[in-house]
Amino acid sequence: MDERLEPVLGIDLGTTNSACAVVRDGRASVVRRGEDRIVPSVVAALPDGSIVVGNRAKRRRAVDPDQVVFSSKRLIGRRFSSPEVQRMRAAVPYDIREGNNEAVVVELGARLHSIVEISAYILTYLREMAEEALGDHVSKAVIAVPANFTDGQRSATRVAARLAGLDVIRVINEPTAAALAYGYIEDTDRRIAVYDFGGGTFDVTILQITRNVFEVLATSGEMFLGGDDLDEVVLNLMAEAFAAQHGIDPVGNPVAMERLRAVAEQVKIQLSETTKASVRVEEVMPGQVGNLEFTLEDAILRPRIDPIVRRTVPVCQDALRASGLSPHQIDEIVLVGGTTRLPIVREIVQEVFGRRPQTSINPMSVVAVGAAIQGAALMGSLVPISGGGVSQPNMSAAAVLLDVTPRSLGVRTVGGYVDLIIERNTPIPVEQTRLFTTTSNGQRFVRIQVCQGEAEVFDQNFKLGELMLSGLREAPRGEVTIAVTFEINADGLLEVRARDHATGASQSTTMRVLGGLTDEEVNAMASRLRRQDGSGAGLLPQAPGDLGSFRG
Amino acid sequence: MDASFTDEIMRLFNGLDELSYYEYLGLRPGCDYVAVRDGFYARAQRFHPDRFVALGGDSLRSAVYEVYKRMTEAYNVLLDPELRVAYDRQAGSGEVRLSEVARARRTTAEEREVSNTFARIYLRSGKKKLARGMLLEAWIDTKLGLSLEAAPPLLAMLETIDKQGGAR
Repeated sequence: MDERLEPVLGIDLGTTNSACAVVRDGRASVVRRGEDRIVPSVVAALPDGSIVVGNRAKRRRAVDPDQVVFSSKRLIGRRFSSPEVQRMRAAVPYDIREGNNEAVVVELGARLHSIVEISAYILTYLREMAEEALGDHVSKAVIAVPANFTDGQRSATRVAARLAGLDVIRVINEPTAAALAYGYIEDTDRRIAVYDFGGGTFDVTILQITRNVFEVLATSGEMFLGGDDLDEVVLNLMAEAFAAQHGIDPVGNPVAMERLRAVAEQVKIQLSETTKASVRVEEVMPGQVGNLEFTLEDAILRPRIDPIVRRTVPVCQDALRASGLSPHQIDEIVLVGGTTRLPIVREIVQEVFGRRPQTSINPMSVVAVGAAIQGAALMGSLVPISGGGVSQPNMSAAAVLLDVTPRSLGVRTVGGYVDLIIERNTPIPVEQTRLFTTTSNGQRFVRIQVCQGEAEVFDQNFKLGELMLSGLREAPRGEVTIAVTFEINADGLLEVRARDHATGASQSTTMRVLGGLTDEEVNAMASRLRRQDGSGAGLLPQAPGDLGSFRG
Repeated sequence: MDASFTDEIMRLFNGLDELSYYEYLGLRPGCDYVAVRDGFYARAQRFHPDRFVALGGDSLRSAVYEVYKRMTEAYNVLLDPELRVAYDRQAGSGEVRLSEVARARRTTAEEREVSNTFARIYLRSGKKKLARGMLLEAWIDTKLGLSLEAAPPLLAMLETIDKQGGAR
């Protein structure tokens, strides 16, 4: 192997936390900075206008909550008017507004930032962290996204990575990455359930692996269900304890609550490993005396969080139903996300699927590790083998991962129905063309609306964008034929082209992605980020970093 | 990169207007559906663009990309019984691809509920037989489909067959 081969960063850009990993000397390792392997996906502006990322940004929540952007992944690649964005607006203290082209922007440090830019800050932080740990320049990455990410969300993530100085050699589905980390690629005909219980979202994906073809049989999820909900339970218990100890209810005091929230998460994490956790929080209400002594037993917490964890059960059943499988047909269960470290979660998983889940790889970094393995495989430097390890290069035996489109893609036709152009589970890259005709006399242009999903009715699917083909020759209806070509590249990214078929005139146009950014907007962001980076210090605070083994 | 492998890629790339779908997947016309899948999987392991991310120049990479896209097209056509019949019918016409119009078929919402490709083939063929009153044949297809995937449309078809007097 060429020793000088540049490492490929495997990135898990999570809703709540992010992580990255690389494969070096035949082993996948999570990138560490001191003791930190996990970077909170949080971006904050300090009073002087500078931007901070990660734990430093997360701590700002207790000080200046409206200048802290978290859970931005819920917003990426979405239209401002979508229900998800509107729900977030009601739930978060920072200011979410509408930008150009129905995009979402947030106010931070007296300036509007697109969501892509927010993600770019986190990705820049991860890149710098990796460069510091490796002592080497990093410019290539494999980035993992949820299996149910739409094309718009995938492209937005890609743009963010480009802004962060990363050339994304592949966008991979998170559950596929998790399965790769466990080395399932070499095995034949397996069905895997990936149970991903993160900080803010819950997803379950059923994968079928047939000779290296990763098919997403079904994916189901709840957008607003995660470890944060469990923290909330602990937080309320802490607030009650404080009120009992001091006779003051901290619930009305946002700073006190944020202070307690940070500790509540620690208590929950402790209870993943022990049956009893004790903490002391000093000066809960700023400027007032009043410390909190708090002890929580697993036996007390369990009945309170049980109903929340049980909300994952119908989601799993839904995914199983959609995949046409029964629980006993699932060969392996892979756990992803910090919340799956709680014993109660593992017990409920076992109840649903009737077998013990895989736990040998840290669920908080398993996706990043899988992405790094895929990155190494793509560069031909390493080949994943069974058992979670990686072997020395061997091109003849190198397995290629065959991805398929997780959802069908189509266009709107007369009456509000969908004509599918590429069906779900088609191996990619693929190109497919369909012909359409004009529907009125003398029609000079057509509007082609593109959606993703399985419903027969257009509006029930996810609308990706639209393109206009104008300058059609004047003719009676039905006489002008328009060829619409969908091409999905190896990243699962869609390109739509339309041309006047009959004349052969290459009247062609590409799609405007809703909620997307124009090239000018992206360029403006790139130069802003370069300026931010110009100091040489970057986003990373000064501290030692090193590279840790992912099993450690 | 092996020179003979590069030659093979260039042969397939230069043959985009001459070689049939069968040739792209290394198959004999008349082979069964399992052979189509196996042929595609085997080819994919050798010609998937991912294998060339770090190798060769831009021209080789774009050639491989075009070749591989033709392979996925071949796979999509040959794995679909109706498209395959249409393709076989045009054999010898000099046209090596199935036309855009012919490839643009519509699957029903029911068919899309079935993930397994073969179960989907059984569903479609069973539906046709059922419509022609061939109960036993439809029952066999349904059972074969169900052995691959307990998909709701197949279960519904089994129920319909049973109501009409079953396989007897």
